[in-house]
Amino acid sequence: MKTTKSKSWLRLGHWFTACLAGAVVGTLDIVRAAETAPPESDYYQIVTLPIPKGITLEASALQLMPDGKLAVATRLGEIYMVEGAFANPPENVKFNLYASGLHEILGLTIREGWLYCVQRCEVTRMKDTKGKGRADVFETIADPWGINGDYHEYAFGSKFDKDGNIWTVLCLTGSFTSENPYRGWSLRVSHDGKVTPTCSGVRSPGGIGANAVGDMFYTDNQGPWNGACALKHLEPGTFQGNPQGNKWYKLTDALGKQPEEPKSGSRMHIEAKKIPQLMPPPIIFPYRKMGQSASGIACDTTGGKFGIFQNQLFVGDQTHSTVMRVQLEKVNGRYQGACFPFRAGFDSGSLSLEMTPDGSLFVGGSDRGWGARGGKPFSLQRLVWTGKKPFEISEMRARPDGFELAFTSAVDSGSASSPASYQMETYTYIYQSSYGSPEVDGTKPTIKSATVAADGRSVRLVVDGLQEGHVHELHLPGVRSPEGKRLVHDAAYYTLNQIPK
Amino acid sequence: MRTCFSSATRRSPLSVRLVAGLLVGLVAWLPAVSARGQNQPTGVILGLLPEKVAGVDAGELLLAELNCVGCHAAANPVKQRLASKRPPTLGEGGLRITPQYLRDFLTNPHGDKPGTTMPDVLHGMAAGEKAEAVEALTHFLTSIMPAPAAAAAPTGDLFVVQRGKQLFHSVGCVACHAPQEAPPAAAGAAPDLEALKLVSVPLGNQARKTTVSELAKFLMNPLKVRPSGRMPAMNLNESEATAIAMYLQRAQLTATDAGGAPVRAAGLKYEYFEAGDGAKIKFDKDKPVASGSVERFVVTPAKRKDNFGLKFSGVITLAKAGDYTFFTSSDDGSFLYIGDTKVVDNGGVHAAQERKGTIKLPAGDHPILVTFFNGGAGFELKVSYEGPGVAKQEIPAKALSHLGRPMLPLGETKFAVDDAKVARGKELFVSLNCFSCHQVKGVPTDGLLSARDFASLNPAAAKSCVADQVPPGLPQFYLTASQRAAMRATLAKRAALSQPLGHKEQVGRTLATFNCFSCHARDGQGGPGTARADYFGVNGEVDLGDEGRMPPTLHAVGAKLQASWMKTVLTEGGAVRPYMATRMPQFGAANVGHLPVAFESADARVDAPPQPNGFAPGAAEAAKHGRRLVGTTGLSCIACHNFAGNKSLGVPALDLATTGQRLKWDWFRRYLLDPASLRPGTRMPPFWPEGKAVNKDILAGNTEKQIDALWMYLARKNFTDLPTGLVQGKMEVVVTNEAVIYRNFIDGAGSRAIGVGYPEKANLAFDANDVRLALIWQGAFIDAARHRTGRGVGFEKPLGGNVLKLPAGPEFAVLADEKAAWPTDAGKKAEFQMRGYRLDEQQRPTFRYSFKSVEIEDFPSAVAGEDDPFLQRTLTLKAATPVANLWFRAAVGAKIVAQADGSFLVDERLKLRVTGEGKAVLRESGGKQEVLVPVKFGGGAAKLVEEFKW
Repeated sequence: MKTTKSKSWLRLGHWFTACLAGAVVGTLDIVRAAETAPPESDYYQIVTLPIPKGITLEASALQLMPDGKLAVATRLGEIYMVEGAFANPPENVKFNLYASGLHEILGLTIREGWLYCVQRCEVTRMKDTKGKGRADVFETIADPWGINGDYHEYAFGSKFDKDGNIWTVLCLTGSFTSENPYRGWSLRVSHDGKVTPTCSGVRSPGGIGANAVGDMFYTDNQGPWNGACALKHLEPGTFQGNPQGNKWYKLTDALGKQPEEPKSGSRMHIEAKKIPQLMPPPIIFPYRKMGQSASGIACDTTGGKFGIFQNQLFVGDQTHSTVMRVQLEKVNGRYQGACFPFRAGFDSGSLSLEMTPDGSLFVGGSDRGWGARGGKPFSLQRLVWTGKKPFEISEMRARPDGFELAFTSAVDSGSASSPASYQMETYTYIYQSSYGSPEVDGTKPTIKSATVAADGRSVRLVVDGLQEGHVHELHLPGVRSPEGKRLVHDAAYYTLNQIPK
Repeated sequence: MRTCFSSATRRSPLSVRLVAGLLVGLVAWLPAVSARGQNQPTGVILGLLPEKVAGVDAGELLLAELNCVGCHAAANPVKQRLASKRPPTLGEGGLRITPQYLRDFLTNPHGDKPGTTMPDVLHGMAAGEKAEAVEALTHFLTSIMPAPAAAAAPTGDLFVVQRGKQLFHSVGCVACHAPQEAPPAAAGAAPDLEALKLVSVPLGNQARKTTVSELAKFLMNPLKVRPSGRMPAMNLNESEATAIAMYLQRAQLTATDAGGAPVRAAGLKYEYFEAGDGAKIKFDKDKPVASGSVERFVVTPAKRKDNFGLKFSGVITLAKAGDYTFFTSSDDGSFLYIGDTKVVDNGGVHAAQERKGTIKLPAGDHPILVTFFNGGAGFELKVSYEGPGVAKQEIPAKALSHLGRPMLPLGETKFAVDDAKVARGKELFVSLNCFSCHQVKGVPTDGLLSARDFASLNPAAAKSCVADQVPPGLPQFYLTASQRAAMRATLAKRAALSQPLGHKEQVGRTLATFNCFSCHARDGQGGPGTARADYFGVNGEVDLGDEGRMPPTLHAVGAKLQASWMKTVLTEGGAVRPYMATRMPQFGAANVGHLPVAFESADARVDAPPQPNGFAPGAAEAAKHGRRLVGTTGLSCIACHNFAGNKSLGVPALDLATTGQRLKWDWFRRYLLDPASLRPGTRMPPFWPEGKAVNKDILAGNTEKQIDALWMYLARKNFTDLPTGLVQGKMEVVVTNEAVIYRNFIDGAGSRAIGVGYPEKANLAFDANDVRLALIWQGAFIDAARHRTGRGVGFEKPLGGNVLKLPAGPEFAVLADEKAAWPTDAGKKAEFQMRGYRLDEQQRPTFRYSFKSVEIEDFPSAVAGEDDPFLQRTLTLKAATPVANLWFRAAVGAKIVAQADGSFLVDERLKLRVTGEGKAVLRESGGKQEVLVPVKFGGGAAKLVEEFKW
């Protein structure tokens, strides 16, 4: 049992809670075997960087520097250059203060010798011109948005895109309203200060990042007009769903006509048919099942150094101190896809994520103001692949009549070809002006058949009762590897905004 | 005496709404057909109850709410079971009601109050006879009314009315009564207020019924007048009750004088406040030190120079419709409201600065309110406007007025009690059986009941109160057919009513009777319905989601709460959710005192594990681990939860130190293991997901031991050992051997302040929004605790002393001539742009910004000085083409004196020296003195040097 310590909880817990509290946890009535899945730590190891006493490293933005140091920005407005961040075990890690006194930094990126940061009030670039290890020039690149002293008015910034833009996402004022210009918008800011309003409808972002082909995504948190936390696609010109900031259409023509006000109490996919600018979230992270505060985004473009989930996205959850995995596909021209549990057990509330070319996923944490499971006030950790291949669903792809599941290695065709090995339910959320939403409109589709491909690496599920606009929650309690092993995670949540034609 | 039942009857009263609103919902599931056979709207049940309440018999409920056993004598067990609703107390101890209202109500109880439980006992009388009876009863009832209040009736105040409106729609009144306005923050579609009226408890014409002070007295203690608790106490203090009364009786405000004109007094009402810190005055809560009226917005009522506040309210009269811009120029903060709208936000501590706001208004009268406070160091208030046909000017007295007349009930005329009519009225009071419900001192009751006793009632009788046609002489309740049927059915099996209700049924009956379901859900029924949900709000800014505003579910509450705590909540005003705007009403111990026992019995869990023994060996040790778990050393529960009166580090979730007096161990344990199973939708994350402890350090990650330990700690009564990390001390940013920058929200320097602390102990804050030097001070730099704990909420003041606020507005401007007024717009509006800063070897910044085409470098530095540290500032300007008529404003003050050494003494506090190519000018402008310096470019550059000694 010792080796399975931290991993078995997923399965056991369902059983435990269901028995104990008579609770409807996943609402799936699954008989769980007492056997346990292999632990996450067999495949992905967390390396904790020791933080010197006296440094409050609420790591809110990360950037690998050309000299191999890791720049770590904090919520307290400091930037440290960390030497030895890649050592394992993490010995001789050094933190050198590079800049301080900035205002809650939530974005770091580099270009042409400058380190750019997105702080609460502006996009700033800085440089150490004297070679003393400390930045001495700070230039305001652009300050197109307003702040009024409300703590909630955060500004998150991306890495530079291929056109030399930082994409920002700007939290609403006080979580419900937009009191200052462009609160609730995404603006692109070029390296030389040109500002392009890009999307409206933002509520409370937790992070922003691009996928492998450079399309930009951000996470938005449960709240008004957001039934649950979600990953949203910042396609320029779109409205992301929260209408509070729409008053700022008066400041710009960049997005065209102001979208019609959505109807509170409706459903996202219904409103999206009426409001052409409305972009439904490609991925919903079902509340509590996946997380409660979606945060930073990183894409695995390491060409296999981080394992076998190439080009997929990794998304933090602050409350649950986890990193989740996201796989996207384009269906009928729009992104959508599935999210999966990936790695739990970070020390603090996962906030900033940075994938480095060597295949390290750095995770910065803070639980200040928002409690997190990890329990530590702040942290900086590195997640590394152990080289062992986990038995996982690598992808879940929508088909006109069901789904296709790809696995990281072959499945046992006996167990995987039985529809009884799978359980599926669907639900959606109320699209409403008040805070969050329960899961509603629940259905239980029937899995009519499960056909294992010749190579055993994929399974085609024919499903009766796909629901447009619903999350399709899939569990695979019966699926085994040829050696009889269980999946490391047997849950997948597919947001089916579009059923393929 | 009685006439025959006339077919030319009264116009249809809304019989579906007959039963007082509490019941409306409950009986609405019955097909609603009026006595006339008309279909009536059935409406939705108050809250979420589209169908009957499980286990509650509607007929029985009606028998109780209509107090049938008042007339029809019943044995004690039946009486007890029905827990009948008693009517309002009349006479001594009752409310003073006007004769005009009594007349209306007696003539047609359902006219003004559709759905009242008061029956029409005069129905079927001939008109003359009825009028005579109404008059006699009015005289009799007026003769027994309590004496009028000695205090003069209050004059109306539109802002008190506004507060009343806000309270009425937020504290819980509209859970039962119909809202009169759309919810304040309705982001969705506004509810259909007319439809809501049909399923709400009617209020009657309060403006005609009584005075503000009588109604306020009633609202503070409704149980005194209505002992049956159907109208509960909402825990209102006098000012809140007065505000709600004034709102409900607002029709009295617009009453006109004999000439038909509104009664007005010239000028504005004011209230004057004093406080230890002027910035902390709460204008809607604090008690004013003095009040009165003034001609217009002037500071003259202030009795001292520092730490005071003034609130002006009244009416502004506008001749034309259009866009009006209002301005306040104040030192320190001020706000201006027109009606509900905050038009000018000039809040915060600052030097004199002007702020404005524009609002579209129709011609006519509009409520106007200005609040103003001064902390220290000089004060000023100017309130101006401009609009169609009005050039910018201070608002003149002639445009201002306030309501000057006392609020009096509508329809007030002289009324002299006539003894003969009183005697006749008393006779009728007995003969009409009024006395069987309304017990009035001096009216005999014994042996006078003429109705059949309860046991011998014939539900099938052709002539009865529940017959399809109620004959004259019997009380007419205007019941619907389904209501009558339900009552008859219950009466037919009335033997059952001799048995006491079981606990489960008792809970259902009580929750239905008191309409608890309109706020609380239980067993799948009840909870705020969609139409009313938006009226449930939070106090202040609380990011707790629906948990912060929606009353908690009562599902299995008997297994959750200790009986003693339920008693505290139900009858002693106990509450643990200060963030929730809706209050837990008090229904009276006599009415709901049985609930704790009933809940416990109804919700008992047979498999509940025994509570851990707090005195067992090891319990104290466990509590130590519990403390670690609660604090930042463990699970950081205090990241969200308040604790023993201390604020949490984040959102103000429920105070955990109340756990031991409120919760049952078994519920606590089950809740921690899976919060969402007991509170669906909660934001409380599971810390033992799937039963496994997230924290592996404490008690070796043993789930049961950790939960036990938490209980051992939280179940204490006193917390001498608060959780680690809860109380944060000062977090001073100490400046030692190099300058330190602190960008954050700094009081007096804005949301985009750049604070700089210098080792010489002189400090400054630059406002990067307005692009100006905003504050200078000496000594300690700043305390960062506010921004480095919790969510970092609010503005922080300088930590050191001798804080000097520098003038608001731009530092540079292009002036048409030397006499032109200095502009007020700063920052981007005035073409300033922040460019950043450069740090020197000592980390001292040189700020960089631009104004129009001029690039400016601004290098402040601190000098230790012989006595006190002081500041110097070098401004270097560059422009490809020199900007003409460019000026720098170095100082503004009430009194500036040029010194022999070329410096200026500003308000006897700041010694300012400014040098440049141009010669400094001391001038008068806008009632102030200013030091201006013309900027002279030489070779595309100009330089200014300032020195601040203060």
